[in-house]
Amino acid sequence: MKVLIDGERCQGHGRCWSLEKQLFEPKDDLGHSAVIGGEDQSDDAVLLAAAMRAAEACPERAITVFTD
Amino acid sequence: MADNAVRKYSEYDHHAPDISLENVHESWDTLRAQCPIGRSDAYGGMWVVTGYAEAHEIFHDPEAFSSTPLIIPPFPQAMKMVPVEIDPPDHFKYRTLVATPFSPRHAEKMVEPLRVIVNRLIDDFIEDGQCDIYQTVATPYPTLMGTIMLGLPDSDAKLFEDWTHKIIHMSATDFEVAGEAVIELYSYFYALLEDRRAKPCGDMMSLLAEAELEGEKLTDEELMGFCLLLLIASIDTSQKAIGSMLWQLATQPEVRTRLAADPKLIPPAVEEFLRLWAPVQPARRATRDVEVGGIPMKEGDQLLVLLGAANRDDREFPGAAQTVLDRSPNRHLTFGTHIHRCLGSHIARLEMQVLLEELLRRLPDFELQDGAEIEWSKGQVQGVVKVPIRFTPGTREGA
Repeated sequence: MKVLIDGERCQGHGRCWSLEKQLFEPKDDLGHSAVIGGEDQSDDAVLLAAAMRAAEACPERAITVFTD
Repeated sequence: MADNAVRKYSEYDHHAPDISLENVHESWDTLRAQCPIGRSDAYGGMWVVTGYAEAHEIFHDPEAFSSTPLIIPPFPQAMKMVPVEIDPPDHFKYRTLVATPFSPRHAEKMVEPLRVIVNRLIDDFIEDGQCDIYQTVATPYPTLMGTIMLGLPDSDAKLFEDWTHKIIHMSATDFEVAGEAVIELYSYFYALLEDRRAKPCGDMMSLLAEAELEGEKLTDEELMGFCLLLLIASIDTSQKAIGSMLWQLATQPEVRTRLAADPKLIPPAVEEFLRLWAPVQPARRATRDVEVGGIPMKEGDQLLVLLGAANRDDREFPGAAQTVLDRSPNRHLTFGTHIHRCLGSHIARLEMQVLLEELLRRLPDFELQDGAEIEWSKGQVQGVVKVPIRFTPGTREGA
């Protein structure tokens, strides 16, 4: 799957990296988020569920998850 | 939008003396059911926003909706609060100046110091079996945290609380008293910044004293703007949110029991408490003629954005009035959204999580005293400000 963060929308709320530490981390002091390991992630069901939860939690709707 | 629906808001006044915990949320629901934006005649006329989608949209357009002034009616300070009352294009460079002390990394480092503070506060009353936990915990905890964050002496905590209270809660009713508090606050920080310029020590005040924007040191106006916001944003807001959360826990034993049994629920529960009890209700001002939610607004129009009401909008939060400890999604607006997202949000969440962990550990059976009167702080920083509890006395842990 692909996990994309829209850098223009992200405001560093940190819901994603608080909830899903295995997938997201803060990349700067303002708390903007980065996907650990980059946007291309495995299709593992647990990881997909984590990505969806994070996308759902973002007040800026900055995360998009693409599956094939 | 039907004009008669919009006019149902005509008497809305966020400082009305009859606002109480018993009616505040219901009154918002009633207004929102009419329409998510209405027109009040108070304070020279203002739009009042109770809908989630509408609040979200307004916050996402800082060009059309300036955050100066943030307060209706305005505080008696001439200078803008920095960076919250600064609009683009200048906003970001001010915000970036104070990013590092508020970073996720720095917030994590505060967890154990916060735990020490909480337990010291609990030690002061744990043997008594009863107290007003708003006075013993909700008031001093954020103040002490604020003094650490800002590098201020905690012996001055009472001063900060006094000024904060007067500025935020008396500007609408006693402008002169609030004005004096602003002057005293400015004198205090002016002297402190002089001191830090002479002897920098790596704290927030030193950072501000030495900060430069485009090669120039910050002006007095900019510095005072930062100091005022840093102080009031870290203290008053958290006090009210914590007071409300503690009131809920004191009156809902099933919630307390569930959290004590499953501490993994504490972080999502804190999100739900933040949603239910959003303290800050900010304002905006239309910079041009603009339409939102079908309402045409004119340049200069004031807007009161009731984040507390937006957080209870069923269109975004199914069963919004219910407490769902693991609610998901929970994209509440308590810390704002878009460019003015609260810088203190990371530390505020940890502050509340650590408090719950230690409270549930040390006085798990706390409950509201019989006949306790509820006191609700109204205006633009709202919350429960009196929580008389009783509990099984415990033992001190510190010296």
